[in-house]
Order: sequence, then structure tokens, then C-alpha cells
Amino acid sequence: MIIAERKPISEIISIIGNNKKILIAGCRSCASVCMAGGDREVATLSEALGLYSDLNSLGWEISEISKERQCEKEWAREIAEEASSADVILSLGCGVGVQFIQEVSGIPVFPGLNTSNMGGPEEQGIYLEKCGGCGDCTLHLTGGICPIARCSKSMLNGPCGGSQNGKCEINPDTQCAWDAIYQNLKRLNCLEMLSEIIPPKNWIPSRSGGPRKIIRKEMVLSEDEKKIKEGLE
Amino acid sequence: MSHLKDVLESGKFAVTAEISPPKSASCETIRKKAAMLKDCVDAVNLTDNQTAIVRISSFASSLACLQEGVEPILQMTCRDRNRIAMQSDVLGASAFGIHNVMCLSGDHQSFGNQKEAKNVYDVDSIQQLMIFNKMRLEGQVWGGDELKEKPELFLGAAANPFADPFEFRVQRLAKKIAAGADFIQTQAVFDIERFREFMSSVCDRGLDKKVHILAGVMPLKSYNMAEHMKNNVSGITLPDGMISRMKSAADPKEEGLAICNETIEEIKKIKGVHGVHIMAISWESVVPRIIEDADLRD
Amino acid sequence: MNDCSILIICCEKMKETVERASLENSAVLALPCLGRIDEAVILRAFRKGADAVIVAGCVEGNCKYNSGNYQARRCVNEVRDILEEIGISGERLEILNLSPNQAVDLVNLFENMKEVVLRLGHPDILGAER
Repeated sequence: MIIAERKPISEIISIIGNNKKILIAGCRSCASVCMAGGDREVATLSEALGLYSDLNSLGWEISEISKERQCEKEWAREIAEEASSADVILSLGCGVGVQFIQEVSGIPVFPGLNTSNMGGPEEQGIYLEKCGGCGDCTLHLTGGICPIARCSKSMLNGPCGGSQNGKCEINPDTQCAWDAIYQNLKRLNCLEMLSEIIPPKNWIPSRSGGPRKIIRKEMVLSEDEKKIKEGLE
Repeated sequence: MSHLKDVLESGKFAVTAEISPPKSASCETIRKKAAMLKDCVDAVNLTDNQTAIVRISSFASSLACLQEGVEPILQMTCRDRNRIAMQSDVLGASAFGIHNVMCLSGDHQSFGNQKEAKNVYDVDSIQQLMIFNKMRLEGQVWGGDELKEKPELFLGAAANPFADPFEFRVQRLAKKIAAGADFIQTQAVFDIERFREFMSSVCDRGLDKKVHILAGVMPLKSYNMAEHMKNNVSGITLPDGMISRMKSAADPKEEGLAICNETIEEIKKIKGVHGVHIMAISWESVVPRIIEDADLRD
Repeated sequence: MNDCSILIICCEKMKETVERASLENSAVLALPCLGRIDEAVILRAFRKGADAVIVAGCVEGNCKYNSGNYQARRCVNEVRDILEEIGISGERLEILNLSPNQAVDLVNLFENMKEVVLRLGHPDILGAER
């Protein structure tokens, strides 16, 4: 899932600027699971901004909406339609959601969250980055632990000399990904895998070539089929 | 091409030292320090923006060193260069007579004065060795394009016998050798027992026959430095006895030199060690004395 | 400043204790369990004119529904941060874990809270609304 966190309220207030009618849009997928932009967080932010507006006599009119996902056009469109009387939409979805809504909305869409990474909850309230999204997965070589995301140097032949007691030298709270890889391969009885050198990586499937597009050829609609489908709606 | 290579291959005990390039657009201090070390060491490492603090480049520093008649070891980290820059720099180095290249992953930028920098890490230090090895052996860049002239390189790598997981460290050293390392400089040795253990494991696997290992040593200047090394520099272990010696010493500098000397004497006895690498940080002037005290010159 | 109004949010189990304390200028909102509380409820109380809010539930470990009072504590901490961010002192919000026979703790906290409000004054809007 995508991990995000709410921007500081002071920053949100400054982003809103002189706009008066604000639609806060939540997302019930990832942003909800990481407790940053689901129904509850939308309600909280709505009350907080309302209180701020009351205190400062700003006269903000705040409304709320949440959809299952902001990162699909169908849902994004429903949000945009709800916003017809608003000045701005404040999205509590990830950066993908903000962009999808903006694409179909005639009014500005502002981000209420900072989108961070692909990861998951380690425990309630603690979210850890897990996947570097490099486009060329090597988890089968590294004991199921992603060194791209989890090693501070993204090394493929670690651990470097900064590994001590299972921790990374950059921060005592940061696990050394390569120590974890070593321990995991040991547990799985596969330590011999670590005698192989992983050669320089092909970063083409990663972020070096602009936005990545993946095409599932068989699922793409023909122009004719698109017309028929649109007619049905 | 490389004097260091000749020394190591002739079976002599090699001595290298380290000069940290200044935060300056002048190489004068490097020239002075090089002159100081000229007649007592086989080669000198020029660090590459060590601890991620911006300094004059290790390439320029190496060149200045060479001009002073001291053989440089060009350090090159993976932090700041992708594979294009690395290969280009190594061609340039070889062209100007800089043949010793030390391949390092580099200190993370979060330790330096450019904390907001994006690191590169296109390749890691083992992959860097593979790339340079291919260039010198096959006369090709990574990916296969021919070079008109091969670079002449004597490749170095680092090993940290004191990092974790301890039992994997020797295996990782083997990977560096397989990737092309000719010589190894270790992290500073204070914990001689752990180093001995490491080396015996190195010899058991016959790795000492495949690579030249230079043990790192570092003269302690003060009790504070000893504490700092122990607490803040990852991959350095200092035995408590050593710390208390520094604490109670009347003349800490002399005590530090005595410890350094004892360490070198122990290191000389360890099988498989082919030299020492003296890291006297901002204290280069003491290197000739360390060498003399330890009787490292023939 | 005699008209300061304090909202007490409590669980069913504490309702009787809270009511018996008969605190002047207070309103009581009883929920089945403090686990039902959320940030919006507390913030709304301030919007509706509360000068301060006291969340009163059972002693930690004694919640009939296991952890409602722990949830409420986390919620209160979060709202305190939010209040500070929008310019309202976090001192206006307190949580109290109460035993049914310890109404005196609530009375003491209530008196303290009145002093806090006296010191800080009404948040502007709340004064204007009254």
C-alpha cells in the first residue's frame, strides 16, 4: 500500500489561502489504512479547519466526501461532481489521487497529505517502507527483503562497513537491511546465495526513463469497444 | 605502473598512509603533507569527500601528490558517481599516471555537511570493482564498448572486520576479491583479538594468497578521540583497557603512539597481513615517527 | 468569567459519578464507552462553545470493552496537538481515569480547569457566540 501522512495543519491553512468553500476529499484505500486520509481523518480535519475559521472569522464553508479510491477515474469523477459549488478540493488521498481528481475537476485540487512510500503497517501507527518500486524485482535473491528501499545506500552486495548489531549506521532506529537479509537467508538455509555477486543493476525499469507505463495488452479496449462501453453508461 | 603493486608482489611489508584533502581550492597543504611522507610510505590514500564533507576532489589531490613524487591511491565512492562518471574518472586517472584506485561505497551523506543531497548508489562497491576489472582486463567499458587504450589499474577495496554480521565479513571479502580487488585496506584495528580471528578465517579460506591485506591502524590523540571512536564511528571497536589507558595517560599523544606501535607489532605477527595502512587523521606529521618506531623501513 | 462552560465526556460506567459531582456550568456527554470518542467529537465541542473539555473514563485496565480508555487517551493527545496547531491551548483538554468512588479527583480537576480557563480566557469565537 501507499504510505502517506497528513501535512501540518498550519501548512494546509496556508495552502488554502483565500479560498472559502473547501471540499475535503478522503480516500478509503491506502490513505485510510495508514490513518491519514480516511473518513475519520476527514472528519477531524474538517472540524479542526472549521474551528480555525470560527476563531479567525474566516467564514470558511467546509464539506466532506470520501470515496473508495481516488486513484481511479470513476471515483475521482464522483468527487469532482460533488465539488461543483466549492472553490477548492483538499484531497486526503495520495499524490496519485490528487492528480486523478485534478484531471477531471474544473477547480483546483490541493494535497492535504505528504505521500511517502510503498510499505505497510509494522504495527498500529508504525509504517515502514518496504518496496523501492525499481521495476525489476530481486526479492528472490535477498531473502524477501528489498535492499533498494531498505538499505540507505540501496546496495545489492551488502552489508557495508556501517552495519553494527543489526542496525544501520545512519540511525540507531534503522534496521540494517543487509543484516536482515543475512539473518533471513540463514533461517531459510540459503546462505550460499550470498556468495554470488549481484551485478550492476538495470535501472531502466526504474525511474530513470520518465513516468513508467505498464500495458496489459489483452486488457486494452479497442476504439470500437470503448464507444460501445461509453454508450452503456 | 604501480609502485605499491611492485612492493606487495615482491612480498615486502607495505606501508600506506592517508591524506585528507582540504576544504580549499588550493592543493598546497597536500603538497606539504606529501613531502612529509615522501620517503617513508609506499603510497598515500587521497580520500573522496570523506564523511560526506565537501573537499577538494580526490582526483586533484592525487595529481598534486603525484607531482610531489608520492604515489597516490585515488579513493572513489559510489555515493556521488554513477557508472558513467566512475568509468570516465578512472580513464582520466590512468591517463595521468594514477593507477591505484580504491573502491568504496562511501560515507552516507547524512553524516556530512550536505545532508540534503541525493545519493547516487547506481552501483555498490563490489559492482564498482567488477566494472573497473572489466575495463582493465578486457579493455571494454561496462556493457561492452571497446576502449582504444585500457586503463592500468591496481584495485583496492575496504574491509571492516569489526562490522556485523561478523561471520559474513570474510565471505564478503571473498566477493570483493572475486570482483577484482588486488589489495585490501581494513578499518582501523584496535581490537586485535577480533582482527586475529578475522585473519585466521581469511587464511583458512586461502584468501591471503589471492589479495594483499593491509591492516588499518590509527594513532589516538586523546581520551576524547578514543571515546568518540568507540561511540560514534560505526565499525570501530575499542577495548575498554585501551580507553582507560588513554584516560589515565599523563601524555595522551605519547600513549596513543605507544598503543599504535604495540598494535603494529601484533599485526606484523599475524599471518596473511601484507602491510599496514596508517590513518593519522589531521596528524599526518606523526606518520614518519610511527614508521620509524615500528621499524617498518628496511 | 463565572460563565465558563466545560464539557465532560464520559462513559456509561462513570455517568453516575460525574452527575453526582453536580459541577456547575458543565454539560455531560455520556457515551457507551470512551472507545466511541473520536477527534471530531472533541473538536466540535470547542466549536459549539466549550471553554474546556474533560474526558473521564475508567481506570486503565478496567474498561468493560478492554481498551476504550486507552483509545480515548490517544485521541486526546492527538486533539491537543491539533488545538495547539490552530492556536488554542492544549491545556483546555484533559483526560482523567476515574474510580467510581473517587469523584473528588474529578472535582479537583474541574476546579483546576476553571482556573485554566480563567487564566486563558474564552477563545474568541466562543465568547462572541455566547
